[in-house]
Amino acid sequence: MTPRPFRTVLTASACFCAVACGQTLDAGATRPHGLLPVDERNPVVLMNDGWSDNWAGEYAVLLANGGGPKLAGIVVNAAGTWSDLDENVTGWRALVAAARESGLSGIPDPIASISDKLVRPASGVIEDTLPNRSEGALFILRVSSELSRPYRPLVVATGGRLTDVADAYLIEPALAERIVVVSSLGELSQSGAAMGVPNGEMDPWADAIVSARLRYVQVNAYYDQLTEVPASRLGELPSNALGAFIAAKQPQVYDLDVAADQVAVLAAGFPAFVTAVTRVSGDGSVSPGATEGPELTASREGPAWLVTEGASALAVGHFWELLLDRRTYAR
Amino acid sequence: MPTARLRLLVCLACIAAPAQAEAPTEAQPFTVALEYTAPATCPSDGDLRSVVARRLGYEPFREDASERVLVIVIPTASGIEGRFQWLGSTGHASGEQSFPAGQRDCAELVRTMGLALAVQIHLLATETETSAGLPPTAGDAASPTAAKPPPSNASSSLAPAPAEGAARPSNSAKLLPFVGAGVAAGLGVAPTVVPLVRVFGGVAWSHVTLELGGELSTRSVGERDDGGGFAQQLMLASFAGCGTYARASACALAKVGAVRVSGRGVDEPRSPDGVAVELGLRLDYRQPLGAWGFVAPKASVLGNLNRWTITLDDLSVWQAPAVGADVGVDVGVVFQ
Repeated sequence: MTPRPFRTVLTASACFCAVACGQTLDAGATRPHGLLPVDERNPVVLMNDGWSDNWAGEYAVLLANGGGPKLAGIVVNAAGTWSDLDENVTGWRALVAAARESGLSGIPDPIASISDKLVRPASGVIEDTLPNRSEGALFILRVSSELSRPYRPLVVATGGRLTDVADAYLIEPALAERIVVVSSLGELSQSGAAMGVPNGEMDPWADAIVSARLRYVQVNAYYDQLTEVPASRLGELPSNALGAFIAAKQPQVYDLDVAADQVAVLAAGFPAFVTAVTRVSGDGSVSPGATEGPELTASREGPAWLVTEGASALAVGHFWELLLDRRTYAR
Repeated sequence: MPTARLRLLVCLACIAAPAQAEAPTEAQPFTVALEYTAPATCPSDGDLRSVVARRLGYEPFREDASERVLVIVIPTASGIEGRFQWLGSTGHASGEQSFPAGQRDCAELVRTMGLALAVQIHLLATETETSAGLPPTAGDAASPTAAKPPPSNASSSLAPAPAEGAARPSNSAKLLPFVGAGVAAGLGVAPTVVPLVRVFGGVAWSHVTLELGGELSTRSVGERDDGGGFAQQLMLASFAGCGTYARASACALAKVGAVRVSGRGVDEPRSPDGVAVELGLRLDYRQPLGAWGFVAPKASVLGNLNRWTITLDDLSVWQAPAVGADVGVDVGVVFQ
């Protein structure tokens, strides 16, 4: 027979257990610093084609050294106007070299990714699509496995077509839990936004895959990117390799708002830039032979985010602040 | 006055001891090995043996006896001081008695000690007979007061050190309160090895000790790789029931209390409280420090009955393991 005191202890313990076993103590949570699900704390992979038509690369390397997101990779592909992969990669390497020579740290070498646009299968089912297994796709899979956390996914900030991102999903669908795609792509429309020009027209089926299967932020807050480095301010550029690179590039930057791919980098890494966001949803399908991706329709419960307005003046001010701050080059 | 206290002690010892206690007649008489150390000016070993033998009515000292008693007389700044200490068959100290310092007459002191020693030998003999199922001697029946310990006003500490629990002749059934404090390193109760401080008090008698305590941990921190994390602190009440043998104790141990958690490095930190319930075992070993004090190294193994899980961003970042432990040391005093 069990001694009485022992039984008492057991009973008391069981009572405690009944009310307390398996208790969960919630110590808090992180919240995005802006209107989007990601902010300057999320690591970023920059994906683009051309190097000279906008300031996406310059923003990425400056933010990485000025309180912005860690730059986890630069994936360079080729499509449309920027169909020469060698030329594209050469330009990006020059930016990386200038940044490093100036004292910026954490700037990775660009990775060349060879891929054709994805082909919509006859079934129209996304998962039936044949993946390219491109270098860019495999890189995204690897880096997202290393750096992504459930509370802080990897951002893939794109300024070109979405082929490599969609390709990565096709190789490993679990990628959907590890990344958020933030794209300078398409334009606003009456019902929400179109996944067309710029960048969306180059692989409509990839647009459909990304908008249907991945966490997707479309940034259409384009602005006049000639305000970044007007000729009148060339003399203010820092006298280092990066300043020289920017000065040499300045005449090549497109006088075209929708070419401002840096809006994707800003939306992800400089939360103050994003001033208006709408939730949208896409139907996830495009017809055979489509020339642009699916329409994104405004929807309160939509799974995707559409950035409709941005604080460009604030962004430009921050650009110069980082560019001229000596601490930027001493990290 | 030391002299007055000595005289009182002698009187009480004479009352307590049988006037002419007979040697145990059954089987072998109780014997003890004597080790006597005293200045040359004091009575000899033989004198002491004689005092004891006269009082008992037989010679109790044998070198091959399993029990030993050390009788020591040492000079002090104010005179001389006497003390004897009982050693069990395993060599552990199981009881001692001090005689007040300040005496200058060594002969009187040794005589007093001899009488007190005779009383204790008689009590031991009686105890041995009783435990062997033998009837008490006539002396015991005639002198019930002999079952009582010698007077305590002579700094008596005939009861074993409370930590030992194992009663020597004397007041083994006496309740001995004690208090103390301790420090320990806790493992498995926090994300890191965590310092614990505690205070405790309780009572000891014979082979049993009951103890209540309270303990507090420092704040231990767990961190994610993004710098987000949490701090945790434990505040526990403890209850221990111990069985003691000589200086060692084995205890059933229960702890109940609060787990205080606070988020750090996250945008919306929270500070929830939880309940900790632990059951386990503790082993300790009490080493006497002077007349009243003790120091006790200890080790515990505890099962967490309610394994709490700490979350950040709704994701588990740490869970209390099923089993924890602590290793530390206590110090305390026993009120005799």
